[in-house]
Amino acid sequence: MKIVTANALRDGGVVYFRAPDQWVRDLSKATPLDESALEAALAFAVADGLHIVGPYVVALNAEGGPDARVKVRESIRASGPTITAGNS
Amino acid sequence: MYRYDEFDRTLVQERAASFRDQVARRLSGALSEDEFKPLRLMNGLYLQLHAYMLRIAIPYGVLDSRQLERLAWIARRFDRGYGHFTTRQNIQFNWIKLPDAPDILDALADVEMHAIQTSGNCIRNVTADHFAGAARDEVIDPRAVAELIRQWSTFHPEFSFLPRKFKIAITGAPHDRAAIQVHDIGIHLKQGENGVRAAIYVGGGQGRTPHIAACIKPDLPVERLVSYLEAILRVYNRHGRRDNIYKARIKILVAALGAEEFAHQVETEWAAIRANNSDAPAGELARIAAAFAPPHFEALDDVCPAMEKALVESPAFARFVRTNVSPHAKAGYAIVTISLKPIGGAPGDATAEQMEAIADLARVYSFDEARVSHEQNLVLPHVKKSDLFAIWQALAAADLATPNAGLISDIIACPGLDYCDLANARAIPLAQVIAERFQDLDAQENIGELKIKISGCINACGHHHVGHIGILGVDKKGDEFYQILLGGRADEHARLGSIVGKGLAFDAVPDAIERVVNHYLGVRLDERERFIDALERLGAEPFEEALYAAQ
Repeated sequence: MKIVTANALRDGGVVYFRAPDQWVRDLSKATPLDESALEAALAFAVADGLHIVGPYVVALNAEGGPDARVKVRESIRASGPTITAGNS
Repeated sequence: MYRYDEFDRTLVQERAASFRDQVARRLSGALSEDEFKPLRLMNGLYLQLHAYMLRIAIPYGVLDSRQLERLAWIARRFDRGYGHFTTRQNIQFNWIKLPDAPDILDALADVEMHAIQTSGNCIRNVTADHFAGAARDEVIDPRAVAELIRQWSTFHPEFSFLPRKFKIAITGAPHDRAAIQVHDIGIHLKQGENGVRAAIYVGGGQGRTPHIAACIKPDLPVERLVSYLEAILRVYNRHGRRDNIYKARIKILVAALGAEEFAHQVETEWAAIRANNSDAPAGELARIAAAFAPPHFEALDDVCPAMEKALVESPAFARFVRTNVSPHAKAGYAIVTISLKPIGGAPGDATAEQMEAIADLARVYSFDEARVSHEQNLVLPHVKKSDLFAIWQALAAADLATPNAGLISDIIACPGLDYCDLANARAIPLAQVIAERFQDLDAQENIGELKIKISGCINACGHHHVGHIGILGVDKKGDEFYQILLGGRADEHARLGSIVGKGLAFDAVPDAIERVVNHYLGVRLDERERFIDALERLGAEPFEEALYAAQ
């Protein structure tokens, strides 16, 4: 299964496609899609340039998390930087 | 400091106004992302992993208190209370919202700042020695020439769509603190018999295919600098490869032609454009230089009894002076490096409160001037030795007195995969665990000068090719690995480090670095022989063996 992700146009935040026509901030609320549903989701994403930027597909592993090949990147996208920033 | 004239002011204000219109049209749907993306990038607005990142230019790393306070205000009002100083002497804000970007550009324009030349295939923001106009070893203050290049290059119509981005760095001191030999063009100003001369280096760079620049013009009269730069850019613009993004930088062209042939083509072009008279008019450089006249220094003894007394009474202050204070050209004055590398912190990050504290110190003690170094630290360039103790106390109160400038925990690290869309691996957390491993201050001082530089991908924003120990993050089927490079340096003896052996897992890196450092401590002739000296004397091989000793 796969999901569709992108960044929100206004604040750049990470969003995920939730069927049939929503963008959500929480990875766990993303809709897992099989190949047949994926095409329609991507078409929706590409047409929704007023809300999102740069949609792409993320493959999922058997447990429903991001595939091992993109695990670190997609985990950081989902949860934010792994560091405390600002040095105060 | 240089102050904007009416041309500068109008240009920056008009640019902010047109970006406001472009953002409004993107938000209304009148512009598609494909249409908008090049426009936002031309204004320094990148889309990263979690948010928009705004990269703000700090030309040749020079800031005044008002500008620092404005950056602090932006951090608090539009970001999450902090900013990140970069290896390009710029500042980046990591959490910007698109509708706020025009307001930020307006706020910057008010204090003579902008985000122009921080993206795109143009001549980027020019960088310089962060001790310019202050260092004891300096021969020529490079800031006036840097400002001339800024004025010449900003929105230069012929050079706004180069084959690839183009970076110019400049110094006027024999000890190169600006890493000029790993820039597309490096300029070293010297005093000649008949005025200021420039040695021109071309074709340096890091990234995927690193090169050390070649000196193609050792003795150029500075009055002819602009036309000579124009000739270089014209040759590059004509022959640089636009068919392959990985081969588009000038370093590839210079390497392909050979430095001699490239220099020959530049000379031919330079002769052909001579009639265009594109050099700055006589007197213009002097006009600009007047803005960088030395401040009103007092006549002081170089030995300061108050400081000497404090050095004896406070070992912690004495340590700070040993590590973070550098000799000033003027007797009785000093240069303070403010480390943005607290142990366990994110290299280059500063909070709004810290920026304000530094702005206060600059205003009270340093003729209203601060600098950004390419090593991601800030600098108070002109402070009286008699004020050093008070400055140190104020820095300590703002968590800014880490005494590690130039030491092993003063690590350069790019934002890496925690923020950057291009990164393959994280860089900041690795810098943090290495700094924590070596946090003992006595041990750090004993190790001495050692520059660790970490990049989270091949683009090398973290300068890993020229780290004494360089670290490159790579992705191996979804896992982060780190390749180690040994023996690089970015100074006047610039050299590229070589990759040794196979990549290491994140957790294995601190132990490996510690083994290399321990090897160095065992083989150095005495404590005056720095890590890089010992490595060059003995060759990288024994250090490489130490690196992998446990495997």
